[in-house]
Amino acid sequence: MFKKSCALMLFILLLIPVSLAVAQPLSQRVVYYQISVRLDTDQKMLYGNEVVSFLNSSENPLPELYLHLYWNAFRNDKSYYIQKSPGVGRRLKRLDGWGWVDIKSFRILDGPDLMEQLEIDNTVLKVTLPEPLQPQQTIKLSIEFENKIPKGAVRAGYIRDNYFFSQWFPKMAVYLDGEWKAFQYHPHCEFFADFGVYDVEMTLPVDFVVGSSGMPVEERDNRDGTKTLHFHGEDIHDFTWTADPDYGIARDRYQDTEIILLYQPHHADQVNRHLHAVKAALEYFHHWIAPFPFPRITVVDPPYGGVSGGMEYPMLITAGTSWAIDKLIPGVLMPELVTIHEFGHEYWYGIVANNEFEEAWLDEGITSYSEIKIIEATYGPALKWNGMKMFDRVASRLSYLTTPRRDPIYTKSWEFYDGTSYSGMVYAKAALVLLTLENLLGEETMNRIMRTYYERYKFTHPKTEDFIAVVNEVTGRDMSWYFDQVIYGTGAVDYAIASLSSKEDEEEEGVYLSKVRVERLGEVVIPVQILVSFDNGEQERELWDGKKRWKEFTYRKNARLLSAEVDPQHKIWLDKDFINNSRTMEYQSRGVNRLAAKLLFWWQSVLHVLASFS
Amino acid sequence: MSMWKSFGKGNCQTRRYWQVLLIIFLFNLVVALLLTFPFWNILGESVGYSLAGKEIASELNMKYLTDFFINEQPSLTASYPMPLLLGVGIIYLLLNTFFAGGAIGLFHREERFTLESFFRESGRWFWRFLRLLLISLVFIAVIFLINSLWKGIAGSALEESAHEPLIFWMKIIRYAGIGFFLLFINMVFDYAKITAVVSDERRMIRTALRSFGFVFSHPGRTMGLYYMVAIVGAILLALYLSVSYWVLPATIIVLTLIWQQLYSVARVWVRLLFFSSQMALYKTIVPAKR
Ligand SMILES: [Zn+2]
Repeated sequence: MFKKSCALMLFILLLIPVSLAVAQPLSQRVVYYQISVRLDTDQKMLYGNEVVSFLNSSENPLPELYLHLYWNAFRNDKSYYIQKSPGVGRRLKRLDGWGWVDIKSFRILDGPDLMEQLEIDNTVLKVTLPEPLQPQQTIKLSIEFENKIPKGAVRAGYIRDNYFFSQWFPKMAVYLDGEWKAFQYHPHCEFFADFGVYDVEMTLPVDFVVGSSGMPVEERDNRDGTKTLHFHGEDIHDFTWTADPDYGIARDRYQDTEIILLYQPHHADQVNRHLHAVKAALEYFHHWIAPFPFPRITVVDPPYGGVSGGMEYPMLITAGTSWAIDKLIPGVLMPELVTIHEFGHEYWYGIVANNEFEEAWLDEGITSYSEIKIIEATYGPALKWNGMKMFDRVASRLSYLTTPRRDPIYTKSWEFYDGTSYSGMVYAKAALVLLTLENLLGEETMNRIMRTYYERYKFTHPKTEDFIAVVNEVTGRDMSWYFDQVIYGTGAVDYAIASLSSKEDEEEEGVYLSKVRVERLGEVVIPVQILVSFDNGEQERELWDGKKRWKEFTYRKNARLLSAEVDPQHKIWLDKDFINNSRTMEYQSRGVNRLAAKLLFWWQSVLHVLASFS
Repeated sequence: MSMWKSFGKGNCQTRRYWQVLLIIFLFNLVVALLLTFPFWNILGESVGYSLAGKEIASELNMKYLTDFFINEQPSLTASYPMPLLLGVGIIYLLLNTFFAGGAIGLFHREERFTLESFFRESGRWFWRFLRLLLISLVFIAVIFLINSLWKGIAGSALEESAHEPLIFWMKIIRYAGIGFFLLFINMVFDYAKITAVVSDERRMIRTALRSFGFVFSHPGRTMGLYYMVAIVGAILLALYLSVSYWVLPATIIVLTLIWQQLYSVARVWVRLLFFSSQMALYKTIVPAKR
């Protein structure tokens, strides 16, 4: 008996560290959601019960709590979201697709009813607690909600039999730096939430195929034409699911990660393109940053005419393609670009979870940078058509150059001038800032920066200054001068060769006096290289700190100057004009005439078409 | 006379009046050159003295094209203001209407070509052709009106459909429909012009309506001939494209330029071939009143 209990004790003692190691959560689990929800496909309704535990991980007592009710953005045309995006309002009106969240009951679990204490302002719910929630204390709220599922809204809703549920449940806002990050849902804004655990049970008609965040735990047939699925997710900060009876399912695997693709029947011939793209991304991140920490990634190919495409959620991403593009222009990497971009977010949003409301560049910019690297390494150009090639980074550059300097990258999402400036900055310019940084520091150093940033901030909420601190630490130098200009500033980056001259010395035959003038046309100062070429094949490389507005280099050589180029390797992708980076002594008539001949023929063709009406 | 014979006759006439072809071709070239000139200038100033210009000579680098079009956008829009483009378009259309009179007039009279005879015929038919042009624009507007109605109806009917290929093919059918009816109107008004000249008609609305009647009473031969010429045009286009992509070296601009101009000549030739062969057919069917 004694022996037996001793052995048992020993066994338990041995087990404790093992189980602790196994159970060691990846994140500080601030929230724990238990939700059961029923989908009514006839009424287009969701009926939900939610118990959410919230840990006050701050140092302040919290007299009130904030929750997001995102679907109220689509309640009517008076919502903040629709005011900022009337086009969505017109669509919802045309389709009669308004959707919302109604709170039916709200109480502390096994405690007082708080319905009277709620203040709901469109997409933000504020609840005043009977007594403040003390630091390190946990509160459990029990909420009953009814959602009308929108049609033609943004990111969520239904079309035909396809349902996509993102931001569908009353979701705790984040309390950070002494304030609640509970902002109204704005068309430019994405999301921000605390890490935690989700147990979600959904009841829906039996014939529906479901994709979801988390992992499946159980599936039961309710023998009334419905089934109930239970999913469990750990160390995630959102929970999204989709259901459609017509989804095709394809499975694949990369190392420990299971890949599930839910595709549209008409896209069956593009299944491999999707799977290849996810695997390429998983593999790239595995070697570049770290192995994917979740056991599964679900990729959803959205339905035709749907609104859920091109979005990221923990353990679930939505891609996007079309039946025709594959046949008409096979050279466009349509499903690949979006799949790889959204997968990138699994790291830069899903794991390293910055505040997307206020510092969107940290997820969108870093993800766009990752996307460019993976696409170029895996596929080369993103578009091959008619003998022309377009690289992903050139596409980003195009987006950046359309509005290069209306807002700094570091701007709250809803404070951007417009959607073009928002995407031009947080996606495109931010990606080019990182590509330029990589070129300035070298790829190896940049990889160390990205790895350190990930390791240090995985499963937390880093900020811009945290990223910059990592850069400074890894490089061992203060790089603030760079970020101050390109992240916090709106100055233009533009270096140019202002003038060239090369004259034979009057006293010495065959000896030329050459002058190269470099100019900084933009406000941003970045040290640059200059390459000067002579007609005997000789080249001179110069370095210029760019601090003054211009600098002149002079040479006395037995050769005539041919050309000069500032930043000859095009390291500075932020430079707004690569054409003026170089200057040649000779007029490049062939290039000019070639393009002009193309345009001439284009005009001739337009005129011929016009003449056929006469 | 059959379609084939009309085609043959048309071909002979077009070659006989090669001077007409030359005038129309040169006019097209001159207007296109004028339109290209500002671009050429801006391009020269932008990439002329740069390594980008050197690279563009052998490869159309998207990086430079992006930079050029974005950074030079102010000067490009200043050089090509909308009113100017519209004005050039209208003048071009009017002058081509004028030349069409010369071409059809000469094809009808079979007079020896002189500049005097060409311009006399051009002037003689211009007002009538201009009225026909305006009437044809009404028909073209109707086609686009029907298109947008159809688009709206099909759009709402298919909104709930998940059948992507079906939606795609419906769109293709719609575009093909627009194309077909535009060509049809084009053909009917070719006959209207021919009727105006051959029968010396003065009332153009009546002439246009009669041309519809003419085409409807001889659908096989009129459409057969029209598509025969159209196919010749398509073959020439295919030939032009194949040679430019697979045969011509991109770096030798002179060859590209010559090949482009040969194709431009071919396009004018096809346009004149429409007039001459359709006139031959018309004259076979409708006895001439001279
Ligand atoms: Zn993104």
